Amino acid sequence: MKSKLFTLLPSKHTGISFVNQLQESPELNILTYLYYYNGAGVAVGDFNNDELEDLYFISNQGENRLYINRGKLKFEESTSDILRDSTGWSTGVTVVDINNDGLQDIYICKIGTYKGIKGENKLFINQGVDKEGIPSFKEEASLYNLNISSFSTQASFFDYDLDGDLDMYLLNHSVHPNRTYGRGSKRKQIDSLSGDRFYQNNNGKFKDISIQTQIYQGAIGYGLGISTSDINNDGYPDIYVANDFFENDYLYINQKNGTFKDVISNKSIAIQHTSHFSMGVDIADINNDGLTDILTLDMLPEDLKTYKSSGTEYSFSIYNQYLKNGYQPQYMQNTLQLNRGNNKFSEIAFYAGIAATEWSWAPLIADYDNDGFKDIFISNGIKGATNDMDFISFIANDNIQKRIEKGMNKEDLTLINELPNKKTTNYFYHNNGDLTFKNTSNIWSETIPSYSNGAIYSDLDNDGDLDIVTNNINEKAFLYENRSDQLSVQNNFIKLKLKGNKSNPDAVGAKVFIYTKDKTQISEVFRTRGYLSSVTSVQHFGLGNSKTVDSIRVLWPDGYSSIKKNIKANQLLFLDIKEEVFLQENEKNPLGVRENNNIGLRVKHQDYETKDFSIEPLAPYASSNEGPHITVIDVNKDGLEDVFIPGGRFKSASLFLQQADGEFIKSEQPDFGLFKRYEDIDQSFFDVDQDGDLDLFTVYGGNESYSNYQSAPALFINDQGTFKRQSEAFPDITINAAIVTKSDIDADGDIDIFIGSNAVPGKYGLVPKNYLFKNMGDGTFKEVTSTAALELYTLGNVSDAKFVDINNDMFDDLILIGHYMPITIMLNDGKGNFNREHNTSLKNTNGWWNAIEVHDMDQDGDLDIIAGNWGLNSRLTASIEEPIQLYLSDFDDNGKIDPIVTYFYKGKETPIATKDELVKQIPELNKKYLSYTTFAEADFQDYFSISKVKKAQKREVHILSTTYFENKGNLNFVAHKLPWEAQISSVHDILIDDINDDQYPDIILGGNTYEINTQLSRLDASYGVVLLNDKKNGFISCEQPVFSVKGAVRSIEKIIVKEEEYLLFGINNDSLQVIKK
Amino acid sequence: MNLIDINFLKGISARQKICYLFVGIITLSSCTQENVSIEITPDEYHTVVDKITEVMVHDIFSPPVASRIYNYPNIAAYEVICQGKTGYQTLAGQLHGLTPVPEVDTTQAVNLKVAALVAYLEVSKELVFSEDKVEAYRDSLYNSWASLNQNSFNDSKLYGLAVAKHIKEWLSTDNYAQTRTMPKFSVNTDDPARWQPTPPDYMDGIEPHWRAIRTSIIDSASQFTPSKHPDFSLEKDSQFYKELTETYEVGKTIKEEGETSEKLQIAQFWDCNPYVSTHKGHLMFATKKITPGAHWIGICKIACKKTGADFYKTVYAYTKTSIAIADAFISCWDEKYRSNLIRPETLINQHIDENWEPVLQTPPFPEYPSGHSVVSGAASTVLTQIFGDDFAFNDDTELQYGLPIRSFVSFNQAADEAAISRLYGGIHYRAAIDLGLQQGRELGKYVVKKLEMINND
Repeated sequence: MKSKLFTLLPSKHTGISFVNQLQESPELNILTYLYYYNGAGVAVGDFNNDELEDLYFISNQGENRLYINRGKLKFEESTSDILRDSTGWSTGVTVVDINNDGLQDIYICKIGTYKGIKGENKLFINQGVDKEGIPSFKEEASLYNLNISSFSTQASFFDYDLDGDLDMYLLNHSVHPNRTYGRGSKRKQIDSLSGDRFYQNNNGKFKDISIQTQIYQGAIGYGLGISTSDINNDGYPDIYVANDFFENDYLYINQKNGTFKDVISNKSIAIQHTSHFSMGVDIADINNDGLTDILTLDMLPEDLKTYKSSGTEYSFSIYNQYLKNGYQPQYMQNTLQLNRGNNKFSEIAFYAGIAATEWSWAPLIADYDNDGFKDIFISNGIKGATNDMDFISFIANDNIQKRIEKGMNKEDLTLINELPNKKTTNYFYHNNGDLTFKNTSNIWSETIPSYSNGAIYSDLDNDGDLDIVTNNINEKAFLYENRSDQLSVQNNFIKLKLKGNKSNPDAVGAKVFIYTKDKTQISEVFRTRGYLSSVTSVQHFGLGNSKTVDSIRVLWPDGYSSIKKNIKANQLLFLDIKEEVFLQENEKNPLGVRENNNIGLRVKHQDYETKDFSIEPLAPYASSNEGPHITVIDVNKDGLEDVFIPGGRFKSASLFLQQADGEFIKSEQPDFGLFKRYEDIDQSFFDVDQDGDLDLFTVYGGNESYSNYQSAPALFINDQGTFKRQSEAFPDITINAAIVTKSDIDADGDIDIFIGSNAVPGKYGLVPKNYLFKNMGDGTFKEVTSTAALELYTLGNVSDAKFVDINNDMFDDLILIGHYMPITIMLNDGKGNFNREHNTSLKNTNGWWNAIEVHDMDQDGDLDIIAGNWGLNSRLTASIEEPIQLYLSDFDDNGKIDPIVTYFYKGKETPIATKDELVKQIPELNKKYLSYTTFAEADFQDYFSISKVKKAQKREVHILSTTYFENKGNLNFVAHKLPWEAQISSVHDILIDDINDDQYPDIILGGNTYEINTQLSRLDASYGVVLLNDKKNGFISCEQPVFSVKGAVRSIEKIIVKEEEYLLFGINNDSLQVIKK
Repeated sequence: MNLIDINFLKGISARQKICYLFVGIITLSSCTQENVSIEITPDEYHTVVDKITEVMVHDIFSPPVASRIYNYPNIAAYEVICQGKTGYQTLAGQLHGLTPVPEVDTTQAVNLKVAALVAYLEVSKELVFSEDKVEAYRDSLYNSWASLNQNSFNDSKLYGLAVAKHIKEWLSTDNYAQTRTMPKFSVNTDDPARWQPTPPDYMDGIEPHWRAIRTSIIDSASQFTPSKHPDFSLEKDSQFYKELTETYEVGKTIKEEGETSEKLQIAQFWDCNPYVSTHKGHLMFATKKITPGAHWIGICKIACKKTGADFYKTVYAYTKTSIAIADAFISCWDEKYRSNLIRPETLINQHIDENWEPVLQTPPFPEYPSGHSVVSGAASTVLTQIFGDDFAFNDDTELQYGLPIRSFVSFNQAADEAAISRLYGGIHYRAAIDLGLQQGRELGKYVVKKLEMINND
């Protein structure tokens, strides 16, 4: 058998027999204390200073245990009576040298007065080591004012004001059942027991300065996880607090003046969404870019059956109501907040492949295989899965409720056993080095299901790799021995132990930079990480095949940097602040920002509320947030570019005329108001009446028209600067349009029009007609689709199209993209007739395409295609073998087509809609599968009768990535997936421009989609993307400029103002953004 | 063979005849059993109704949907008994869209009571989710009937199923299926008077299109539109605000009075919420009870039993009561989603006391009018007509849900109490109760006036 990276050592070998044994009582159980099954922490520290790290396990109800490391992973239990401390209910543990005597002390958190429990936090001061190497401790919390009685989760010690000593953030949790979320502003009230606290260290006395630091102390804080890091590289430690349930997580940015500012609740939009039921959190640099990233855990099941039988997110409308009550977007999933610099994060857990790890507690980010990229360990498992829908709806009722009402007795405790147990295997993820992770749980370790909570990493046997220890409920603790040194591939490592100033001897807050030939790695000395636990203070780096480290830089907590060069790998290095060589350089943020630059165009797009999910509950996303597609054009021919901004439903379009001084003045256009009630979708300016000026042609749509709010496209004739509605020129055909584009298709000297439609209003998935209109030469138009391009009627849900001469025959052809349809080329026969080119190289390119550009990207003389798609950062995947499938059928014979969208998950087809969503539409399903478990176990194909499924119209999606299609000549296209930046969110517009003046066209992308089924989280990771042409048919990430466009981009246009080039970003339901090129 | 009634033999096929003859020759005792006529007591009807109620509670149906599940099976059973000389006349031609059920073949050995129960179960099975539960129960009944008299059972079953088929066809056209895919209630609006989802589960508003369900006897869903509730206002001296304050204050008083509060007991007794989401520690589960309609079906049972109503009168009483209840829900829901009024819990939390919780869990639909008030008004009016006013009874309907017995001197008094219980429960304003009760009573009177069920010739 091939040996695994980790070996679970038996307690016989290690001598560790600790069990976090729970003893349910009528007074204290999961019904009376909501965190009864949350487990306890474990701490690692060299308590006897023998360079072997020891372990201290916390027991919720029983005795804690100290195990002295005797080497070779043999431990000796040596718990003094003081350390046993089984009083009350213990939770988290933190190791800190609080009295700066070079001996590691221990701080334990406890529940205060609650349900017969009486407890206060304990501080065990290390009194020194005896001859046998056994340390002794004395409880002295009150001496430090740390004998706190609250609902404590865990403490974190760090120097928040850089005064040299360690202060303390105390994470507390609410104990109320989460009956109602109320208003988010409740977080501003102070709850003395559940609210978090901050303590400043004043010469060894800790003073509660919570109010002064401006942290939240509300009763709605269900704080379960805390981790610290200098998130913004300003030298000051910042804090991430993971809150369970409805309360936001908090990301406290240190304001450097003694206060913290939470950038999640106050809508700084640094973080787009967080995990919903947040548990543990760790912060470390996963992509070696010098910026620390945040990983929070939730309870999204990886197992499909568990997923389909567990509680789900609120429906879209309820969810929005909840946001209105003062909360930020949160979804049941792990989140990986990739630090993009400048206080911006892209949440990429789905892209990374780590979003779902069951009911999860401790994330620990560290390089377990020493390859130079930090991997992830996740502990998980829950003794009572209280979100099991069958339990909630069917099991609990018969057994439990009546008895609870009458007060429980001892026999009733057995009822708790009815709760489904979810013992699960802890997860290992290997970092692939490209922002994705591979689940290596069963490759790296045995898969033994457990309830594992608190966890730590440490090189316990000093063999150069990190071992892992977990604290388990009702089971012996796990020790995973890392055997990387015994594997065939031998990677190198370096370990550092820092000695800081007198008042911070462990140098908490220091940051280490390791430079090797191809990468820079960083890590920070913070011991409170993961969940309820305290990791080693030794900094560990894998070095891959590098045998030496070019240099090591330490940024000490006081802001000074020291450097060491040419260090041999595979050793433990001791660095003492007193002995290091310091640099005189000034720390500067290495990345520049392209500042958002307002050119005086202050316009906010306002979209009507998204009602799609009320009308089409089975649609995976809304189709009503399409605008604004802005147009930049010199309307009045004064040599200055003007801006046309379409209006949402009930809002008029507006035209801004650029003045010589660079200002923009809104042009009064009364006729635009005539169409206020319709959503403007797209427009085209051209000279319809051949009088030399530009007229305006507008199309309406946005899926808002399900209740007879349909409008035909409208023509506005330019009458000396005033646009006047001309009602006769255009046929009265109502179209829910997505795009209008123009060309002289028949080379008769006038402009003809194509209008594409992406939806039949209110009927997700049905195919709308697309139209071709011929200019009759007199300024009137005639619909010619049926004779000139019949296939347009049935082509699909078109979202974008371009008229270009793709086959070099001097006539404009039509390239179309859309949802459930391939990249489609329709060739012009030269007379304005279009025939679909049955292109084999584009055959299986059905996507959820939103945008297209056609351009000679590789400068080889033919036209290539760039197409913007849904992206790869969601639950959904698609391929030819395992497509996303849309079934259209009247499944319940009520006269209405039910659109059911499925996707493949681990080889199994499953609907996007939840059982609850499906049965509301198709109650018959409840007859077959009233139980969630039977529903979850059944195949999708069994949900409906075979004939229904067979009869259904089926449409497919094969590709979700935003893609560059290189034209190899003769319309033979080769698909190239664009880099990760293009895949972490949906792309809705593309601008081709030479950004770096190298004569090769580069790509600018914008997107994001917020209005999607809440079970799918949302697509919000993009801040605008610039990809540079590498001149070899590839595109590479652009470091400069760094874009920070916030919101759902729907259009990107270039404009010149006073000889400077700017980019305009049209944002759905938000203000226009301007970036200087 | 002399024990076999010759008329009875007419009803069975030749093959069966041979079989019975054969059996009869072999053993006299078994032959005697074949002869027994299947006796059905009113209690068996009660039991069947109760059984379906049990399945409904398990499956979880909202109050309006539950009223529909009571209505059609009772009508099916009623149409069966109308076939005999029972003194009751058919509802065909009276209820919207109901055509005459197949006539019973008097040459067959149909036991109408058995057929009525068969029809009841068959139609119920169509309407609930857990068909297996109904089937298991049905099969046990079928076996016991078959063992008494196979022949009579077979004929009765065939007839009961034929009527059930007819009723199922009729009910399939009541728009229920179409309302499933109509738009959901849109909560996302800034109108402060508009209903919003309520704690703890913030469920979508249920059955926003129930008005589209075909009524049984009333002309239309809007026939009994109540007068408008006081205009929404947060001005302290407005009528609306006064009523809001009343609900708030009553709730506070009840909390102060504690467990012994009479108002608390009244509120809990009439809760009738089929899905109360309970949060205990980290545990969440549904506490399931019967619906308001089911409670009045229970009172109907009490009245039948107390008066010793025979089988036919029992079916009649249930049927009339469930028609009134079903139409009352359609009428009530019509106004609920017309006025779309915000619940007191939401307003009190927003404007008066953030931590105020109603005694009962606020059900997930708009406030005005109170469903229980409308339904109680309608049901009590019908029951009063059948069993008389001043009908004192002990209401033990909620016993199995852990609630005590309450005594009433009349149906009307019970209805008054059911209505006001919603104010005590903190889930309604007074107008919803007073005007809701009035709406229900008018609807009930109309049902009484319009329905012709007793044969007068």
